[in-house]
Amino acid sequence: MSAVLAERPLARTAFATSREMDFFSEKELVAQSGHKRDEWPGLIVKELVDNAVDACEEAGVAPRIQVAADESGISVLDNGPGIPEMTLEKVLDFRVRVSSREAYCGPTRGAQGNALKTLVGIPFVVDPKRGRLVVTTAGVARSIACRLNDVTQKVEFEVERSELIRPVKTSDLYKSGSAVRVEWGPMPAGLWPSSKSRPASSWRGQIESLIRGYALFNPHVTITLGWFGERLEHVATDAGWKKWRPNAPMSAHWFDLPRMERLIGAYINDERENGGAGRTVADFLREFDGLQRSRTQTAVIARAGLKRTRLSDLASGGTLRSVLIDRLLAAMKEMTKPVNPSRLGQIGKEHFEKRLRDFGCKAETITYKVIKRLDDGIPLVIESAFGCAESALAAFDTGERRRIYAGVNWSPGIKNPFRSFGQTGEGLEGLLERQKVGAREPVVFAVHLASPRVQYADRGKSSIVLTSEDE
Amino acid sequence: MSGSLSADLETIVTGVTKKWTKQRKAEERDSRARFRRPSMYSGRVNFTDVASEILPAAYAKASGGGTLPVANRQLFYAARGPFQEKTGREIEYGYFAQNLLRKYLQRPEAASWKVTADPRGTLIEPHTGIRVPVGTLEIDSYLEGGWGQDRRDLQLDQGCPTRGPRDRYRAILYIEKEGFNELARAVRLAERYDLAILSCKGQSVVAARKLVDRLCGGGGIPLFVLHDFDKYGFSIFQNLVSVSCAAEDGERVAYVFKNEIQAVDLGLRLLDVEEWKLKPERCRFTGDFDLYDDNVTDAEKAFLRKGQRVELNAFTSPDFVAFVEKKLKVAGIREKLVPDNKTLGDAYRRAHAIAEINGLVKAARTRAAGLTLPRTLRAALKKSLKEHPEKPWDAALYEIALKVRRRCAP
Repeated sequence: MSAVLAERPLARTAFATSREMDFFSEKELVAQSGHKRDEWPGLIVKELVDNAVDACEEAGVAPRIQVAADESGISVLDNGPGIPEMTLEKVLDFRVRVSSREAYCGPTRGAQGNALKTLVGIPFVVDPKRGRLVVTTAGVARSIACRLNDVTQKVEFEVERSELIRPVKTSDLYKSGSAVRVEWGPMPAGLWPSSKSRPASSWRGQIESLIRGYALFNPHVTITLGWFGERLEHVATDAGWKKWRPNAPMSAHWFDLPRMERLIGAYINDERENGGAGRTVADFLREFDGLQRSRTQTAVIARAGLKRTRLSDLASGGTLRSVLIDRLLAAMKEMTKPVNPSRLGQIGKEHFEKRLRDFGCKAETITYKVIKRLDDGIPLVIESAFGCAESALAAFDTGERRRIYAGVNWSPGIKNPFRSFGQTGEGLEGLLERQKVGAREPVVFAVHLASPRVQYADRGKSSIVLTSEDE
Repeated sequence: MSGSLSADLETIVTGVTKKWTKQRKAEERDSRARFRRPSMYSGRVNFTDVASEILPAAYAKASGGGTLPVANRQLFYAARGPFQEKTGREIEYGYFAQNLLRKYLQRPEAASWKVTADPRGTLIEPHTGIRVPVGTLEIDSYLEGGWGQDRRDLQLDQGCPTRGPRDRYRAILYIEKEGFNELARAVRLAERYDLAILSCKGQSVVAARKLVDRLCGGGGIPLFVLHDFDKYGFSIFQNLVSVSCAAEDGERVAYVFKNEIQAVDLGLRLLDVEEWKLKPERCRFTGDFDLYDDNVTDAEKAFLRKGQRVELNAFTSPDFVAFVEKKLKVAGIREKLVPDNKTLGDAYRRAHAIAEINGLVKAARTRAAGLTLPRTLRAALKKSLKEHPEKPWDAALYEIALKVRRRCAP
């Protein structure tokens, strides 16, 4: 009789794996961006163009953007001031999410601050062996490639720095600015990387639609798309068009207590982690519209009873002192006027009409409406335009289909960002169906919302939230 | 946000797609409506789109460069051609006057325009007997006159008071529209030709017929009639001086003329239309000409039967004045009215007396200027007004002054 060996139980080891891998898997990138892999080419264009236009506006120059797509990548070139070295360093720190916007309230294109991080991960997921992000600024190219250490399951970055190298085929027009290229290895002719290696041409509509969206919502932007050698350009209709700049002071009226606490908390945390001179409440007030003068700052501080107070005094250990912050916010609102909706920037009828004509609409069919209002201190501008394709008026089925351009804060959505609103939650497309503007109609429809307090449902800014407070 | 962004989105989306939705619904009801889709967007230019381009030029033309007042309807006639050219459609008077022009006149650039509408209603002042017709220019003139006491020197009127045509006017000019009264006043048409101007809106009323019967009938003063060039204009002329056959047959005679009236037709005729290059407008021609219309030539009848007409309003203001003056001269109204020798003598003596009285008045005013006012003047006035509330304050004051003078008289 053979002895029955007693089974030795498995003693499981609790392995620690790096959280960094969250940014380097398809599943996590989809969650981070709000877009499926098939939408990533559009996502790359959107994130890069948003950043490029913002940078130009902050520098006070009329943006000129070149987007190029070829068999091994997508690149975006701008005439802005370039990307600071520190920003690039922070991009590679995946332990934290770096954002210059998240805690702020303002009518900005992006608000999540994870754009460049996402773009570092995409080429790795698409092409683990050859994928890389190339950032060229001030004549210096940095190639950032991520490689997985099979043993540690950690991502290791290979950063190559090379002077005066332009991996991006750029125009010599731009002496300054930056070029960012998301690159993967050359694919078989005509294919772009996706889970099924789709032909690149199948993304053309998505990318062209985005480029048109930028042209539609930004009268001051000249934007060019180079699509496998073919060129499509939209010249600015008003290079001097004025809008609320991304780095313009915020208005106190755009904040409620939780948002103000979030901002003050972020400042205090930054001071604690990075050191530096303690910011006073007056320094803090200087960042707000209407509170730039020291006289007004003094008056606000006096009303709030915060004389000789540092911002860090508004927290005690890990707890924010809500009563003081609430008093400060009330004084700030009392001493400033709400921002008039017109100051946000109205795209305007003329620009919409010009662009819709460029998109093939018959001039007489174009209609435009605008709603501007101030709601509890929050300015809001909604503009909409509609036109019918010229060819579809004369002939019956010309194959023309409905084109929707929907955008928020001068940035077009890859997908319609107004996907759910109204009493039945029908959203924009449902409403358009009800208005007999179905998907097969030969029309162009555009809608744009500008507001400093827009909440997105996802980090890819693909859908805005019309929460109960909006409804 | 306390407001609803959802509601805003819904409003704006339905707003921009409204026209399309209407068309598509029509297509769903009737597939033939699909063929109307191109015409729905046929490059239609709205009247409002071109109003700011057309109206200033039309006003300048109709008013002689802004020098004369213009009636709504005259401005309409000056503007309707350009509107047709720009939009390809005829503009209707009702829309023009009530909507387009009314909105345009709100603009700062039209603030100085003298566009008149027929007065509707009257302002009556107490005690003064002043009656102001509620019309644009009349009210403007009243408002510009300043308020309070008239501080001009007391003077007897230098004129020789008359009532009726004798020694005052030599003819009646009847105009079938009221809109020209302001223009006539501006160019002093009545004064320069010693004419009484009588106007009605369209057909004359019984009172007008009675007036011309008394003043112009049986060898009275001449009657001149200005009317549009249309079938209605000719009947206005006839009905002002005689009873129409239709009224007699239908036993609807409103006024029976007692005298035969020799009226002169100064109305717009085909030759005038050609001479002044006036643009006809389309109208519906119904029925036919009556027997009395032997005044109308065959060419004119043919023109009118085509469904065309020309209004006096088709003239610009300067042209209208020139047209009327020319017609008056042809009709023999050339020299100013001068009365007979007896009237002249009486008036001359009266003029001397007035000059003397006016001199005395001036001296009396100088003396009165030095008077000391009674301390109880206000209290006395209040008391008097309490006793006679129907009196104006100045009449009561006069009585107080009279009493004081009597008391102080030696």
